[in-house]
Parts: sequence; structure tokens; C-alpha cells
Amino acid sequence: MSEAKIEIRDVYKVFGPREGGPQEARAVELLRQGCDKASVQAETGCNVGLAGVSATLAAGQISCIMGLSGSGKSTLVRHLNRLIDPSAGQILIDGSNILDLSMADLRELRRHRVSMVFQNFGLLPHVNVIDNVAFGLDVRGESQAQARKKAAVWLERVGLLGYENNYPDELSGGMRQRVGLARALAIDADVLLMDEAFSALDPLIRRDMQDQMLALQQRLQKTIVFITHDIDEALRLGRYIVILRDGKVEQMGSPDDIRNHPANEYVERFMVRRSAA
Amino acid sequence: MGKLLRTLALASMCLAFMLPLAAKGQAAPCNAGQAVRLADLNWESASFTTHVVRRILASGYGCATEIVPGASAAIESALAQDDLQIIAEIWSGRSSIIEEAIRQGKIEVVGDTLAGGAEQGWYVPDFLVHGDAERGIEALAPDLRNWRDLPRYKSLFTDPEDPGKGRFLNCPSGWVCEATNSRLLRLHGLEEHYTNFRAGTGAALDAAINSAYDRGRPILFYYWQPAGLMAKYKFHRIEQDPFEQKCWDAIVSGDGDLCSSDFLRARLSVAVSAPFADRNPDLVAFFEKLQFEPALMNRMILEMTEARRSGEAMADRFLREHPDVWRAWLPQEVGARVAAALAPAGMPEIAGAAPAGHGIFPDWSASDLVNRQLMGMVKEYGGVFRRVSDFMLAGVLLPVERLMLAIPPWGFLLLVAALSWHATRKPVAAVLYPACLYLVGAMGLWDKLMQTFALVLASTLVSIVIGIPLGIVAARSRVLRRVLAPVLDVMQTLPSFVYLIPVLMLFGLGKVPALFATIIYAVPPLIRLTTLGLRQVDPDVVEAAQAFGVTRWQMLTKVTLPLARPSIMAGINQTTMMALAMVVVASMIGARGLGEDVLAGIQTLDVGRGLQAGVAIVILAIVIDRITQAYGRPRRQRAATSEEKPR
Repeated sequence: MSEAKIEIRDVYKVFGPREGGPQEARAVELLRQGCDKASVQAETGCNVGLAGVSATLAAGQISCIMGLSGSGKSTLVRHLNRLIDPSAGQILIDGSNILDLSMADLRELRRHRVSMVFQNFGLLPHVNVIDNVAFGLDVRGESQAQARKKAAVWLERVGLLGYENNYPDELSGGMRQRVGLARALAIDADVLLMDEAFSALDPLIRRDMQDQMLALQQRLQKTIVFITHDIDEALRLGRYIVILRDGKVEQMGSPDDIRNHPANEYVERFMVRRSAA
Repeated sequence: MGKLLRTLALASMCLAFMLPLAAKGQAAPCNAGQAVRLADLNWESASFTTHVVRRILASGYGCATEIVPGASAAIESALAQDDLQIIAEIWSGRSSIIEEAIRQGKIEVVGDTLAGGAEQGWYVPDFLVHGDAERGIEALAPDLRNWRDLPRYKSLFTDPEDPGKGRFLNCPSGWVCEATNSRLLRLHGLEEHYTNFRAGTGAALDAAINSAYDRGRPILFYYWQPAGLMAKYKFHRIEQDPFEQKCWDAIVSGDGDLCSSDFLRARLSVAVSAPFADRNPDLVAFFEKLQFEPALMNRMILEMTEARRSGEAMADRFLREHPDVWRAWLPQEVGARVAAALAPAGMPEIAGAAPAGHGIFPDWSASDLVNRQLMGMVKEYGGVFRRVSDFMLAGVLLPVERLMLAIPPWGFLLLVAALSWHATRKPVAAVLYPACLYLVGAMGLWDKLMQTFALVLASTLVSIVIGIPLGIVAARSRVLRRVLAPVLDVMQTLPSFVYLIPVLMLFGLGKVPALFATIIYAVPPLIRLTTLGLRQVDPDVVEAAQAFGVTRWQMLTKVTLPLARPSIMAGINQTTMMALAMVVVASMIGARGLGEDVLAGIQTLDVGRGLQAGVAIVILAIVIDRITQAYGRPRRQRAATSEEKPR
């Protein structure tokens, strides 16, 4: 495995009735002692998101984080650009803890080093396609002309040339997500977070997008963290797979590892169902 | 059988004997048994007289009485039609409706209720001429005696809305004195030195005089005697030329050649409808004798204003304390009946200052406290508020209004056409809206339309400056939202009259208090809708923007505000509509414009004039509404109505 780009160290996240309240510290304490999700919730009233996740994601490849809904996968990925702050633990990108960043430094991280694609696209409905793609560039202060020039290049790469002046609500779901992808790629960050990026698309289009994704990745060699609830997608895209359940890691490893040596019954069930299908 | 006959005969004899007796004892029933309707007059002397008359009629003459409220023109025409029977205080030569009705024999005016008659005229506070050592006020106009001195002193009475001219405070439009004063001003050539400022309502006139007097500031106004303020303050009357009946008639009626004359020393009488007078000669005889000494009347009015006693309570007090006065008006047996009907002394007073309690409630009324505080504030900080007022006037209102009046009507119509086209992209709108406004111009209301529009525009601008930032902060802060919610509720539901007069006393009569009152009423929907719009922005979009490292400012300008735009534009639209709704109310405290005409229409029963101005307000409302609403729609949707989409 090549060098580590992202390290997640023993990250806990609980959602208390009041953010940062004393119940949260207590909940983390209970989780450390090995209490399960339900009993922590009963004890402290806190919802458990992540219960001690550690993982190392390598540079320049696609890592998939797989889990069913409620497993904490979307919560985890939002820690990587601090859309959510952990209750405990460390997150290192290129060896430095991003939790130590000031607000201004964090903005710099988000503007240059980590970008993100969302399940529900998160496009600006009042802005046309080209300016949506240029959004990240515009935000970090590039001139409009330059931003649009760069955006046009990316729009072409995702195959949306000619749709510059359309508005998001005039596009199909697949096209919208390609706008989202172009927007994320346009800022040319090393790390690309993709939160269930293709889950809202129908199966055929999803397959297309996966192919396009793989083709792009061959050229770009980015560190991609791909969140999915679909084991097929994970196996197809990921060079490394982390399987989450109830905020804990069930198994990590290469697709072959997982396929051939399921760590436990839970992971095995996925494989069985897959081969049955 | 014979016995029966005898009994019958006896009975009939008794009846025949008793009938005339009964008739003699009871006299003719008052007003043939019909209820006597008295006009409810709202100034102190008249209210007091009305209630004295009513009490005597009810207890002395056994009349059923009823008090009927109404604007002066309305009650005068009602009297002419015998819908009303009595107006207990009518000023000779003041009303053309009354004069006309007297000529036609529909109304009779009897008695002379105020010995020596009532003075009216133009006044200034006495301290202006003689100074007031006690309050440390120097005489600013020691030589102000005659109306001919007024142009020299105009800078004392500067009209903040029209610097360079003085302000003469006239009666509200619709009062007879308003027309009289206007003609006198024109006749004396004072119009070039003074603006003829109508107060809007009597309360506004009083409040303006009160406030100026308490702050020791100059003010020039029309007033009359007897009245509460006359008893409360010391005023100095501006001399007029000697009285000429012929000239005065011309000034009042406006017919024929005007010539200079002093005000008529009006004779106060009771006006009764002719049929009523015919039916009730005994009552007419009473009205003929009814008379108050001015000193007594002034004392009554002073007591009413100081103790905030109603005319009814004051009448009760008068009947108790001065039986010698009213006994002289009445025949012996009527007087006895009135006296008998008076509740024994020591009984609680009729509701005046405080309404009769229910026993379980303590008396926690704060009205006196509020009154004292307000007067204290006017005296202490009046100057500060006036400076704010002058700033608003010079900085916001006058520039906007000058701009509006500087644009030629065709230019304005073209502008509206261009805006309509730009906003709606519909050719119909671009033609229809200017055409509607053209119609308003054709009704002769163009200048008033512009004045109203300027006020609406200015208050909308100020509302935007206040409302949108406040809405943005409130969207972010839960604490502020919790504090703001009840405040906005109060602003929207508190009847505007409640704060109109205090605002007037602090900021002076005219446009500025109107602007403030309008803003108070109009800003809440903008704050609410801005907050709502911002809070309804799709959280997914906000999160995505955050992931790209936006600053708070970028989030606001690039994401949330544009997405909340339809809601904010709806807020601005609501604000302009509510500002327009306040136009009529604002004219009650002297704001010029279309509202003035509506108000005058109501007060003079000039239905046509009121309706016309009302229609003009509706037209203005529709035009503003349609244009702002169109701007609230997303740009693409607007474009799409005229062009085919490329796809």
C-alpha cells in the first residue's frame, strides 16, 4: 500500500441534546468502556454516530466506506473536511491534524485541498451550470473569466459541453451529478470526498457514472473517499474498503480480502447475498 | 240592574273627571314620546353643554334621550333632516350647511349659551410676546401684535418641510374654520410667507400646540374659545382688522369679493330641527334661557381636561354644585324634578376618570403615569427628537419628494412603463399601468399622488434598511427571534392611533411622524419574511457551499440571500402595501397626499372627492404591487414568459 494520505484515529461522534454538552463527554466515556449504541443512548440521551473509528486511507486511490443507513458512513466522511467536528479523536491529512486548524485555515483546506460531491447534488438552483462548476473557484477569489474558463474545461471532461447556460432544474439527475462532480474537480484538490454520489441515480446511469469515474481516476490519480451503501459499487470502485456498522469498523481491506476472507458473519452475509443475486 | 247602571254612571263620571286632571299633571309628553337625539360633540364645551341639556331633558322633562356621534358635516345634515333633534352648541356663521338649513326653515337656532359669545382667531403662545420669567423664556417676538407683523416673524415659525416659509397651523380639512383661515391667509397675502398646514385632526392640532407650548417653542395656530387649551395655557391673540359683517360673510362663504375683517365673535346657540321646535315649545323656552358665564365655562373645561373627566361626568358635577345657575333656566316644577333626580350627594361619581370597578380588581391604571412620562419626555428630550426629525426630513423625505416632483409627469409615466416592461415582460402591463396612473393625473391628483408615492417610497426604503439586516440577524439568532416575535406582534396589532399622537408630540406635525408610524406598521412583514426565507434555504445547498470554504459573507451573498429572494421580495411587496394602507391614517397627523383627500372627503361628506382619492390609492397600490411582485419571481421565469426557452 502506498503512503497514507488520510488517517482517522479513534474518532468518536455522539449527538447530544445540546452540542458540546456534558452528556456527550459522558457518552464517549461509556463507548470507550465498551457499551453499545442502545445502552449509551438510554443512559445519556445521546445519539451515537461513530464509536471509535480508526482507518488509514492511501494516497492516489479510491477508498470506499461501505455501510447500511445509520452505520455512520456519511457522518465519517463529513469529518474529513470538518463539516462535522468529532467528539473525540484525531483526523490527519498529510500528517497534520486538521482539528487544530483555525477557521481561516480550515477554509483554505476546503478551498484548495479537499473537495466534496453530495448525494443530493447541492447545486445552486439560481445559478447556471457553468457558474455552478466555477463556484469553488469563485469562492476562493479567482476572477470570473478565469473561473469560467477552468470550469468549461471540466464541464467538457464530464461530458456536459453545451449545457453551460442551463439551470440545474433543467437537467436530469445524472447530468446534475456530473455538474457536482465537475464542481468538485474544478478546484483541483488532492482529496475528493464523494458522499453516496451515485445513489440517487437509476442503475444504468449509475453504471455509466462509475465507468466515467474510473476513467477519470486513471488520469487524475486523486485520493478519493467514496461512500456507498452498495457492496457492488464498493467492490467495483474501491481499491480499499472499510465496512462500517453502528459506528464501528467491521472489516477493512482490499476487495479481494473482503470477498475471500470475511472477518465475521455480518460481512459474510453481504457476500452471500451478492453471489446469490 | 239599576244598581249596575248607577255604578257604571258613577264610574264614567269619575273617568270624565279624572282625564283632564291626568293630562294637566303630565303635560304634553316630551317630543310626542319620541326619543330626542342629541349630537355627540367631541370638544369639551360642547360635550359638557350637550350632557347638561340631556340630563335636564331626561330628568326635568321626562324625555327619552339618545346621543348620536358623527362628523360635523354629517350631524349638521342630519339635523336639517330631523334625524337629529338637537345640536347643543352651534357657532353662529360657521357652517354653510346650517346657514342654508336656517334659510329653508329646517333648523331653528335658539338661545345664547355663552354670555358674550366665543372668541376665535390666530394665536401664538403668550411667552413669545411677553416672555416667561418663571420658565426662563425670553420674548422672541415682543412686537408681534397685528397680522401685518407676521411676515417679519416667519423665521420663528419655520416649516421644517418647507424651509424659508413659516408654518401656520390651520384647522383640519373639513372644518369650517379651515376654509375661513385659508381665505384670510390668501387675502392677507400671507401665503407666500407661510405654508397653510392642516393638522389632519383636532387631536393632532391640540397635540402640536401642547408639545410646542411645553417645550417653550414658537407656534402660530388658529384656535377658539372656550376650549380646554385656552383654559390651560396663556395664548396671545393676533389682531385682525376691525370686524365687518359683509366681509366676514364673504370670507365664510367664499362668494363675492373678499375683504378684510376680524373673526366673528361667534354666538353659541342650541340648534334644533324645526319640527322638534314646533312640537316642544317648552323645551325651546328652556334653550332660550340656557346660558353659562364664560368664567364658569372655562372652569368646567379646565376641570375636564385636567382631571380627564368626560362631558357626562362634568355635567353631573355641574348640576350638583351649581343649582342656582340651572334653576334660573327652568320653571319651578321642572327644576324640582331635576333636583329630585340627582342622586344623593356622596354617591360615587359617574364614570369619569376611572370606570366603576368590579370589586375584585385593584386600580392599577397606568394612564396618568404614561401621560406624565410622555409630557416629561417632550419637555426634556423634545429638542433631540426634533433634530432626528429634521434629519429624517432633510436627509430622506425631502430629497425623495423633490425628486418625485422634479420628474415631469410624462417622464414618470415613461419610467413606470419601462419598469413594468422590465419587471413583467408583458406589453399589456407596460401600457396598462402608466395608463392607470395617467387616469389619476386626469382626476387632478397628480401632485398628491407624487407626495403619497414619495412617502411610501421613503418609508419602504427605511424599512428595507432596517428590516433586511434585522431579518438576517434574526435568522441566525434564536434569542433575537424569541425577543423579536412579540415586539413584531405588538407593532402589527397595536392600533396606530395609539402611537400616532405620541410620535407626533415628539417629532412634530407632518411627514416625519407619518414616516415613523408607517415604518412601525410596515416593517414587521419584511423582517418576518426575510427570516423565514433565509431559514427555508435548502440545508443541502448550504452544506455544499460550506464544503467549498465560503466565508459567512459569501454564504450570505452568494447562497442564502439569492435563494431567499422570492421571500424577501414578498416581504418588500407587503411592506409597500402596508405603507400605502397607512397613507390615510398618516394624513390625520398632517402628512400631505392622497390620504388628505380621503380624510377631507369623510369630514366634509364630499363622497366623490374621498372616493376619487381612494381609487387613486388603489391604483397606486396595484401598480406598485404588480411591479414588485414581478421582481420577486425568478429571473428565468420572467424571461420565459416572452421568449421561448432554448431547450
